[in-house]
Amino acid sequence: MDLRQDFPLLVTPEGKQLTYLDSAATAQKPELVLQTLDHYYRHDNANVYRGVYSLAARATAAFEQAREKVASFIHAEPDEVIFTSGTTESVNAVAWAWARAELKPGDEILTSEAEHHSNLVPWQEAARATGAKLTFVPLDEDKLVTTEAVLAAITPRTKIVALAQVSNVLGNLPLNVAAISDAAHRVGAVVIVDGAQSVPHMPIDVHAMGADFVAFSGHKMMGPTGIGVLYGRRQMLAVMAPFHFGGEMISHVDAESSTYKDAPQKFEGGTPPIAQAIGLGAACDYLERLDMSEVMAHDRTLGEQAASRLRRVPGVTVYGPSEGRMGVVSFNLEDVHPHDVATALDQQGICVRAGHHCCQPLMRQLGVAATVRASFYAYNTEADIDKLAAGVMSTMEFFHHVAH
Amino acid sequence: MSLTDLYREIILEHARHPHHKGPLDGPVTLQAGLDNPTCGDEVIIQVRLGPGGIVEAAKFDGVGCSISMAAASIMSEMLIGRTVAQVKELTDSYTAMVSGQKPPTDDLEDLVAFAGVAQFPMRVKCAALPFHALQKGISRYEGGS
Ligand SMILES: Cc1ncc(COP(=O)(O)O)c(C=O)c1O
Repeated sequence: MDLRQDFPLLVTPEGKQLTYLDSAATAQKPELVLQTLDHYYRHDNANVYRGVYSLAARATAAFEQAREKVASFIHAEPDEVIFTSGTTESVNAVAWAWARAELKPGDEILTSEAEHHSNLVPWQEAARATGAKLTFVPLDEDKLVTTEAVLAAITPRTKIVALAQVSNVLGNLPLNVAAISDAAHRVGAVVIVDGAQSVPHMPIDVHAMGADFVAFSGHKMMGPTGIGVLYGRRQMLAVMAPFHFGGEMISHVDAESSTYKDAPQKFEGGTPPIAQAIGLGAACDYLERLDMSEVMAHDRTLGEQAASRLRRVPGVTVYGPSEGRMGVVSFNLEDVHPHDVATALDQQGICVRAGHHCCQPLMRQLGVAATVRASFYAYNTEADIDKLAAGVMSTMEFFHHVAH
Repeated sequence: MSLTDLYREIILEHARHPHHKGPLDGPVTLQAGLDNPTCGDEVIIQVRLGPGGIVEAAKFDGVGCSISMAAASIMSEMLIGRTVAQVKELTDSYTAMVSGQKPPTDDLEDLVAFAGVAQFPMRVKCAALPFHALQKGISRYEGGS
């Protein structure tokens, strides 16, 4: 597929020169999303729920329709979709509102050293607050979390399993969440999936996955920034306490105490990110039109090709699975710091990320301070891989021929 | 704007073969470490002042990109023989140059090679890191802690 035409940023004179390989950080936005945002603000803008006038009704309908679109994108029910500001807030919500109420000293939170900080630090804090203990899935020799290792690490004391389905550094093929949920539920544990790198890139059926919670970010799936989702299984949301208190989430307020609405409103205190939610709905429409199976196949092909092309360049180390990967490739050039690589590639119009990718424990496991990361999405093509490979070779030459 | 504007030969040379790298043997008068949490670069500066408050020895250690490591290497070399007041002046001219606030001045000597950094906003922090560590060490020393 060549979809560049759908992405205004990629067709400006400057954008035409760009090889954008940082979609794991944030994705570019299709015309459909931009038009939807523009249309909303120009024609439908009002606060949701409050107004009785027809403009407010239109805004509310568009907002709730967005919730339905997101729900259908992940095969959930609309009342299982809570709008948050992103993956980070979604994970924190569960760590505060659910975990703190349920965890006791001696309970175990099973996570891994390959997690993004936003799926690790909230659990460290939850453990500290409750006396629960963090346990870590042993990584395999490629430093990957595998489904088998997760299954083996679940114990009768496990109360929460919190793992990324796809690593933002290693780009592993998705974990088998259904198998993990089965095993976790057998010991009475709940499963929260960090779907930041999986939901944008593959077909998702949360009910088939069986997870209790799934967190993801709108901006990584071609939607606006400032919007994300916490999917929660209906039974979980019924018992989970609210985490933001204020307007719109209450049903009755006295001076001394209040009662709350049902999910999802109970979790959405204050004016929600209305336009952003509607924009995310449009992103779901766009992705569904592409067909998520196709998107996944496309991204996998590019990820696997890029990894094997880079592996063939002498002096390049590629991290992650030796076979089969999503569209995420982390690598290093011998004796060249990732930041120097990223600056050199930028000079050739190639946008890659360099750093620890919010995964410091994983960097330690890999024995490096940082890596370069290229990540792919539906608008990337094989031509982008050609440019990356050529860019890496000329970068190597530049830094190795001088001052040796 | 090209890659060689940023990576002058002298910078690459110092990055590959840093001078004054490793722990400072003997007494240390002032020292400080600093890291850049967004990229994981770390640098430690150790300085010994001799008679008359003149820098007698300076060393650095750390991990980082070629810009931060070369800056630390050239900086350590240039500190020697300067008073604390002169070191502060040097630091001010250097940080003003790499952040694009002032053109390079003669007193910067080899550090002039970092003038190109101003055109690469994302790398200003790398170039300034060892000097920020040095500033931290000086203010601690002057604060008497
Ligand atoms: C695996 C993973 N988890 C969590 C996050 C955090 O997402 P956000 O910053 O949108 O909250 C990211 C994004 O970088 C990610 O890649």
